[in-house]
Amino acid sequence: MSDSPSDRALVAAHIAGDRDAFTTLVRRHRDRLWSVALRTLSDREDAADALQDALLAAFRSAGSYRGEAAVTTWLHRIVVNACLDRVRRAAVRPTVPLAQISEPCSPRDRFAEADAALDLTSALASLPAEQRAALVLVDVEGWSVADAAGALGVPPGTVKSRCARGRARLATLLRSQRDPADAAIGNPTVPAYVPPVTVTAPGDVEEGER
Amino acid sequence: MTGHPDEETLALHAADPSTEFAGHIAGCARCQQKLADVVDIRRQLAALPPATMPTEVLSALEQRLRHEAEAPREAAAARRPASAAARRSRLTGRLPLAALGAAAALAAVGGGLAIAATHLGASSSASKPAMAAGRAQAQSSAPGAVPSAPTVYAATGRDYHHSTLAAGVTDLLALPRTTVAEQPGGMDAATPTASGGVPRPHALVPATAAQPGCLSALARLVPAGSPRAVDVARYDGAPALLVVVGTPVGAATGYVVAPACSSANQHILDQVSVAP
Repeated sequence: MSDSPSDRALVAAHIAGDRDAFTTLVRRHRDRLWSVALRTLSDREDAADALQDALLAAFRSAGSYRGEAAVTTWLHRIVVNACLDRVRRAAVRPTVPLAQISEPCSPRDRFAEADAALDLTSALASLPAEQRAALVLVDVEGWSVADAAGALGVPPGTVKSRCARGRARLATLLRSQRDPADAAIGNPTVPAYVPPVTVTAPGDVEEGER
Repeated sequence: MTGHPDEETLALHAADPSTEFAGHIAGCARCQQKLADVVDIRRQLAALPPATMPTEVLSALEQRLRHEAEAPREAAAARRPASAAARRSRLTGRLPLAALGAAAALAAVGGGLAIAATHLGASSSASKPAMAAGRAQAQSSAPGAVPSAPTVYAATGRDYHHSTLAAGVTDLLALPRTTVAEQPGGMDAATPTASGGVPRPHALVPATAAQPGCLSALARLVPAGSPRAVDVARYDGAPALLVVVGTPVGAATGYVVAPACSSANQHILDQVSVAP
């Protein structure tokens, strides 16, 4: 027997009037919820505000939680949607605080791994919010496409498409960071690819390839 | 004429390989490299560690949640004469919530109702100033008073009948608050009482079947009422809950409900009113 009440028990306790149950639930999942908010919004203050809005909404609407999905799914759904609402409300505001994305990279050093994570986070921040949210849920958090679709309120095909677009763009951005000279291939501000050419034989090296 | 699939197509292919481009990719170093990059992106994203919520963000969040949780109680306390609350508190001999340091929680677990305990700890000591003032007013009129009566949770296993229901309600309201732990299991796990009186609640309270929203629905049956006591018990030999609803100063109503009690249908088996 576990001493800790389950997530569902905490929601039920909250509904029944336990004033601490919801806080216990939030503490239990705080880092995951924070990660999703932060990576979806790419801004610490916005993430804090969105998370607060979302969790207050969840606090107030807990009675509508019917238990079909896991409590974490329910909470993440509310958090992601609060983040996307915030993005839509501030649509004119750029969400790319990391200028280094468009600047030449510094050479790799011994902190390459940390740099790589930073680069990835930076690149992630530059994606459109919907793509970012899909990638955060599916690739970072490991959700299934179906669950992410449910959370985002879009068809699974849309999630697949957003993820694919996001991954492609990330690959392009990171490639250009690795080797700015390669930007001709992947720079998102220019056509991503050279015009299609005929593949004459397997293994042929085509124009534009390295 | 065959061109390179665009990067989005390659990313889709990476997630869900299709035969449409397989031939091209197999013979195209450039596309293979791009495909590998996309696969690597997924690997890198999956490897990102969760960010740690900053302490100040957590503190602010908890403060808002605490405020949200306490606001309705404070509003109710403001509507209620402090002296009446104090009088009721003296009658029941209950200690202040903060002094008790623990709160019991009625919890539904996978269709079962359980009772869980959580410590109030810091949350009870870090109230908003306005709330602290309200509490101070109540406490100044009578040490040990609480602005609103807490809910008592018990699992007596007692077998109530219509004739013993009123006494049962009175007994439950006289119980002190208790700290109990979540205990998976069924009603049958309860230790039945041998005497006619209500024993002190167990440290471990068995679960029974009930649905979320049951208590709230019952509370709505009494104007300004809230659950005052809950007993996991029996009625005429069958598993049941006795839920006492009322206000700290008014009459209390004891509802016997079947384990299927839910927000939509409370399955009330019997009820009795007890004068304050």
